[in-house]
Amino acid sequence: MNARAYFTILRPVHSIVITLFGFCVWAWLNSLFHVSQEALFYTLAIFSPVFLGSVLLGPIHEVMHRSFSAVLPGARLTLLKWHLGAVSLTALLLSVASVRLVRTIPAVALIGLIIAGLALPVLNNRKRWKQLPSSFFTFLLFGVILAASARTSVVIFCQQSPWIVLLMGIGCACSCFRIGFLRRNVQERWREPNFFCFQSMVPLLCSDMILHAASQQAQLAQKQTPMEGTAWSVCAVSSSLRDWIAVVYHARFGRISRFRHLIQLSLSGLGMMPFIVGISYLGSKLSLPELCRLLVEAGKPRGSADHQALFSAFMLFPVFASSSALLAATRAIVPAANFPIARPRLAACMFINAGLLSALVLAAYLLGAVVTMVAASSIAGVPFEPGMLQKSVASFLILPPLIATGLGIVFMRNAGLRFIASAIFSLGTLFATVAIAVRFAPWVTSPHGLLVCAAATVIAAWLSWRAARNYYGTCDLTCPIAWIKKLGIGVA
Amino acid sequence: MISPNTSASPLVLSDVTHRFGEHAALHDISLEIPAGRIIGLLGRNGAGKTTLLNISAGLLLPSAGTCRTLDIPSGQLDTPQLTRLGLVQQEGRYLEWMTVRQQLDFNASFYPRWDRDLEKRLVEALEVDPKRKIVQLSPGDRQKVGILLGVCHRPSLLLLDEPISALDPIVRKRMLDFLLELLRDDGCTVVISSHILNDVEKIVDWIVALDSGELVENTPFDSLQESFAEWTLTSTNGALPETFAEPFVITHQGDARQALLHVRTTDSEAVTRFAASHHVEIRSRPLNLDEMFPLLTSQRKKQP
Repeated sequence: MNARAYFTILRPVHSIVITLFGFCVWAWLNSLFHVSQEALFYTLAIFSPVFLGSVLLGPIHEVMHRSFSAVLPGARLTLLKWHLGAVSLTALLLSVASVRLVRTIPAVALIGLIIAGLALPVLNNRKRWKQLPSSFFTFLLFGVILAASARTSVVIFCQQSPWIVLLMGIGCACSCFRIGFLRRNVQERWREPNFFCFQSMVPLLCSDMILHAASQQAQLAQKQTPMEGTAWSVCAVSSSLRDWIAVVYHARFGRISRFRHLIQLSLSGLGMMPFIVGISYLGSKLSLPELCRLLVEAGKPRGSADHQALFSAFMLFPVFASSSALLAATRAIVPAANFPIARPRLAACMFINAGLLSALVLAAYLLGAVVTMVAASSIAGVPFEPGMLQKSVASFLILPPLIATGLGIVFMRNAGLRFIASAIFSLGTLFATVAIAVRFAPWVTSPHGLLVCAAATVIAAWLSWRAARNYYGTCDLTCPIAWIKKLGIGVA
Repeated sequence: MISPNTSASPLVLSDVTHRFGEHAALHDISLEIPAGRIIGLLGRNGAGKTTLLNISAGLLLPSAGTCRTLDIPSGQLDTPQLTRLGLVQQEGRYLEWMTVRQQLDFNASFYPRWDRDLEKRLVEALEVDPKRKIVQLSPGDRQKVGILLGVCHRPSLLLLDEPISALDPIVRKRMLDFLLELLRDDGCTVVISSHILNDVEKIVDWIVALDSGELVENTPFDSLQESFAEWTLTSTNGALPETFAEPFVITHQGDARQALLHVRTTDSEAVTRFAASHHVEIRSRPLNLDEMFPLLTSQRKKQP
């Protein structure tokens, strides 16, 4: 394999996009948790090596996971050689950068950590392609926990025994490369061809690959025996809309019953509570009872939510809720199969499913917000009053028309108009609208406000329904909502 | 086992068994593939053809027995042997994001003897657009890419697993012509598994047949063709018997006056003797591979 072949599989542009994305997420998380002292150390000596090691290794593993590579002469050693070269160069660059920037840790220890971090991803056996996103997010979570929790022990060990860290790093790297590139382990890989590296799955740049990966996964899922009690149990589908809504829902979300979906959504809504309160807590430098007292006071009709620590409590719940609801709705409107039903009926099924699902998501997140306020009043030692929920409820009341509008934009056929509408209906608009709703919560929750919200919801839903009906009435049913699929939404 | 009389067989299987859990995909297979021939590997779905080819290419290791490919155990195939081995898989998976050109260039970089002229000629003959991404190709076009990747380094042993199943008749003919050319120019040994027997029989000169993981035939195609025949019997004296006791009769259908037999015998006097003993007139017709194929499995059960 020559340099040209190596760079063909590495895809430098895609690798740079992935790397930039990874570092942006990392930087955002660092800023969120106000980690400054050791942030540089963790970024350069731990996060960057593991992340870059994964990015460099993905294309190598992708080749190994294709059947043609099993009979390529000398492929294993050639791929090892090129990966080793790329890792060595990256290690050199990271070492130079970390030695210059991280003054508190000896250079020897930094190099040891970098070498180990770069080699560690080689051990990833990638048994299922689904592990790709999960391992990535697990890794990010690991980084967050590491950055946010006590990390002095690692730092102290690096300072006290740098040579041991270097030796351990080299030993770890040698073991990783030896195990990862064993003939037997490499030969096993071609049997799992549904692995696609980061570079192959960049949204927009690799939309055809995202669709391909999804179809491969769907084929794989069809081969698997369904779990007991999860298969489709209705032996005959009547002509009623209700039945077809159930069919369309089952085809998209398969093994998840509506009840299980509701439970899952509620848990995700409640799961946001510690996350959002945690962000406020870590950012505020207040004690938890103090923070809860502020939150309860701010929740009251005349309370002020101007304190920075309260921003996340009142803003992030509705913003996350609307994003999740819109995401769920867009997943629901992509037909999972070609159904033998008329286009208007298909439109109705899709639209109703999307509406129901987004309503469930909003309800689940509202539950999370309510429980947060109840818990906060309990921790603060203040008796709970329904009035404390005014701001939370107000911020959620303005979401239905926004989500319906967003759904209508998804159905726009003209890509240019859709782009302009999406730009107007961006996250910034959402933040601003929610902020206004929080500030004018008494009016939003008044009869006048409720009437306006209801009217806005009805009008937005009607416009959205018209857009959906027009879309399904004339779209290419072999690949409907293709642009959503190309973003990787609604394909699995 | 019927062994061809060759000095250096590129593929030798000795008592090879392969199990997938409880299921034996191959059972006690012993055979030598003759060098410089085109071997038709036949068998019904699940007969073990793909497993045999995968074992031969070193992708699978036999559960028992040994497989030697290009004079080395197939599990130890390394660069010197792999440069001489070509494999076209039934559902080969490639780097789907690549264009055909990129995939060809990528594979070419691993082979010192990659033949660019041959590649160019085949790209034209198979009508492959090198600028298209693999992910956008139809199954037939992907199969063509697999063929290109399998043959452009001029292998001395070419293993083809259903290489023409998705090709149209015109491209199929070009492909088969090319295989003959490869045999003529390079003396390449080709093992081709296919269900399109009408096409395969035009080029093969040796038949290996599998049935439920067992070897049922390993014979030169000519002698196989000579041994199988369809006899149309017309009674000249009384009614025909309901069954015929001769061991070479494989199938029998008809009535008291006329009958149609499928027979397998190498005895040239068998027709005369049969006609005399049963008082029948016999019209004999040779069978093509398509007609022989179902008999290959059933006649085995009749063999003593």
